Amino acid sequence: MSTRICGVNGRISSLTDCVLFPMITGMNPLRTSYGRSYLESLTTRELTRMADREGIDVPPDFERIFIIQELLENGVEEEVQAPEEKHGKLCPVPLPKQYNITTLEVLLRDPLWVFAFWEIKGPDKERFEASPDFDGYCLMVVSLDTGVSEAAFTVRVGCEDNAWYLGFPPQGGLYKVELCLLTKEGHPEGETRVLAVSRRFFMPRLLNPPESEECLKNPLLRLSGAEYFSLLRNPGTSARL
Amino acid sequence: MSKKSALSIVLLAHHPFTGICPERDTPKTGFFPGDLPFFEALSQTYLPLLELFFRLERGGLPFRLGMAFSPVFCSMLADERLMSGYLDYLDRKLEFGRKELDRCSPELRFLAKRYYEEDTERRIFFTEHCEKDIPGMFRRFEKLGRIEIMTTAASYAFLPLYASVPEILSSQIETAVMSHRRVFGKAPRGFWLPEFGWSEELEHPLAAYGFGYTMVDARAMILGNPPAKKGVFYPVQSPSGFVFLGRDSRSKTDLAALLDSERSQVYQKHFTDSGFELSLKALRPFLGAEGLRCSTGYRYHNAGRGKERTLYDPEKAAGQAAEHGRLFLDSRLSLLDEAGRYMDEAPLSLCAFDADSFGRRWYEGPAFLEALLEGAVRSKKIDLVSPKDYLDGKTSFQVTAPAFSSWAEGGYAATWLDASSDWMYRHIFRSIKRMIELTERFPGDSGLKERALNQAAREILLSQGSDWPKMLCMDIRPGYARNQIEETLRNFTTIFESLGSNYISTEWLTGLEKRHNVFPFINYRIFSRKR
Repeated sequence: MSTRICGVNGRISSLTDCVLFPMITGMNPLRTSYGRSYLESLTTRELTRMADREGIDVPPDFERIFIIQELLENGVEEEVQAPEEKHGKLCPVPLPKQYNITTLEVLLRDPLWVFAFWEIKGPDKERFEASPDFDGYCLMVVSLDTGVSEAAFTVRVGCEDNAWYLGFPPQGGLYKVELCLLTKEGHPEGETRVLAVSRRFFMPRLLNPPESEECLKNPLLRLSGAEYFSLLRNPGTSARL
Repeated sequence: MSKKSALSIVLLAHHPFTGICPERDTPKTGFFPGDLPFFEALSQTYLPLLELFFRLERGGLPFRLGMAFSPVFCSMLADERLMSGYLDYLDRKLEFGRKELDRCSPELRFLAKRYYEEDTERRIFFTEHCEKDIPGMFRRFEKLGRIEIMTTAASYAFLPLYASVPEILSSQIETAVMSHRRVFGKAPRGFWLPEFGWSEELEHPLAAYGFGYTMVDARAMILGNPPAKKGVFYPVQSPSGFVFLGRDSRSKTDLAALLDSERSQVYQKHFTDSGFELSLKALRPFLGAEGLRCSTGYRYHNAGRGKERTLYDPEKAAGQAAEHGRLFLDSRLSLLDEAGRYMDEAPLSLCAFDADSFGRRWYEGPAFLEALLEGAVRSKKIDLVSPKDYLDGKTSFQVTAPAFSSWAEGGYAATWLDASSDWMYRHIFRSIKRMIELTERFPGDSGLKERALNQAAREILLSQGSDWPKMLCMDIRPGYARNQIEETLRNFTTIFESLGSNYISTEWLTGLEKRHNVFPFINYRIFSRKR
């Protein structure tokens, strides 16, 4: 699976593997490997000593669970016992890798970011990609504010991608996202074919700085804690993922 | 109109479902790790809370507060095997306590003795006073008019992320209503939004199931369309008449500031528990399954920040907690006093917390609550009310649409939707669509098929619990959390495919029904397509 982040200006940056798989980047194959269950069997004092040996700086009041986490991140990937092993007779089927449907869903994460995930039916995907006219896929974000559908921005996505975080402008508005098949220039059926459409969704508007200042003039809103809403005061921030 | 301000304390009683425990039938192997936090919550939060209510009642103090019980927590409280596991936990703890009394130096023994006596009394309170029926005791206080009991989403799902699927919203809400009726004997009026997550799509199903009001974060009020002119100090209503109370967001920061102060160093140090300090041999018989260490409650040091550990003084700590309770009340009074200057109506401070914050996560928390409730009842400047009390008789509210928000850090959904958890939504959304298909394919089935369909409904509800993505986001036992999500989804998929092939293993299904035994009343048809 590949998950990407995209800003409204089309700038693309990978959501790095260290975020998706936090255990991998901290791994050092030369180090001694410790499993979580072993670490949990040790006293806090023993854990602290082990952390010292590993060169991990552990403050005096550091909580036990964090010491274990630090050691794991410096040691090995956490062992997760599969349920079928744990429960003997139980053999539930694995989670499907694909559901063999064409679909696109969007989840609103906050006023600046939407998580879009999709799937293209297997046989269709194979057919599209085998075609000589195939030019990739894209997500087209469509603004519906004016009553007329209008592409707000388009993001090219990879053939193996199935999820992206899409960045939106702070002005809010009504949108939908379309998953499109791109074909090379001059194709008789047009260069973009819509494969799946998300539901319509409303992005909440963030107050701009003058509006925030105005809002804080109302003493009841100030007393309600409006000044603590960092997003309200910093609508430009986009580095929160 | 009286201008006396109002204070409403509302506590959430919830615990993540820990039912994946086939070993529970053989408790001699030790505690299942997933059960321990639940047992600790009973011993350190819910029983002390009930003891506090009894104490206040005996003292003739007419206290009043709101509590929301999650249906999944109610299911766990009604699980006989889990509750007998709790008795076993208490007995092993007492056995460990006797060993501690022998082991401890005279300097520590008075604390060990105190903890041992506390556990002994708690066991008697649970078995004889409560007759092992914790919801029944809370129901008693509701009947006495001391608490208003609300409900929340069935598996405590973060609902805004499912706002586009009405079948998810209605199944979470309908199951909550059914659970509440069974446990508390009546339909709830107020709905606690899990994690205070709000989006406008929730209003219709909540109103349709008879709820009259809910509580939202300050952000929902202030960024509403239009903004709530009176902020969190007065309710607002939607155009269709659904009422929203705003949470006093300063109550959280004020409490955090108190707990971070120099004076809080007298409180019990949570992480110096004997369970993590002694050798495994010394801990026996108080070990989890497979010899896992667990918290014993025997803690001898305070939260002093110096290099040397300082002995815990329970009397001093309880006195400080009471002092903090009074200071917290003073800060509410001062806030309400200031807000009242700009309002014609009596302003409200709605303080909503996880009940676990007072006990399991903060040993002296019940003493804090006791002082706060006592102070509020005796104060001439304030009325201690439940949310419903405050709304009674009020008919005129500003009309607005509260904004999408939650009470989490950042104020939105990032805690439940980030790189650690976003993979799960693809499976949940597809599974819910499959569940809807199943209700259409098998509209009136009975016998084994109906059992399988009902279990499929339980699994899909459990997969949506907000606890698991939150644990993933916060990196708290991520392997366990991920396993909980995957297991429920795999179970659902197994049932779905079994129904497709017209064969299901009765033995497997029976085992699953025993392990994931939430919502025994469930009817899979709650997932019928909403038109």
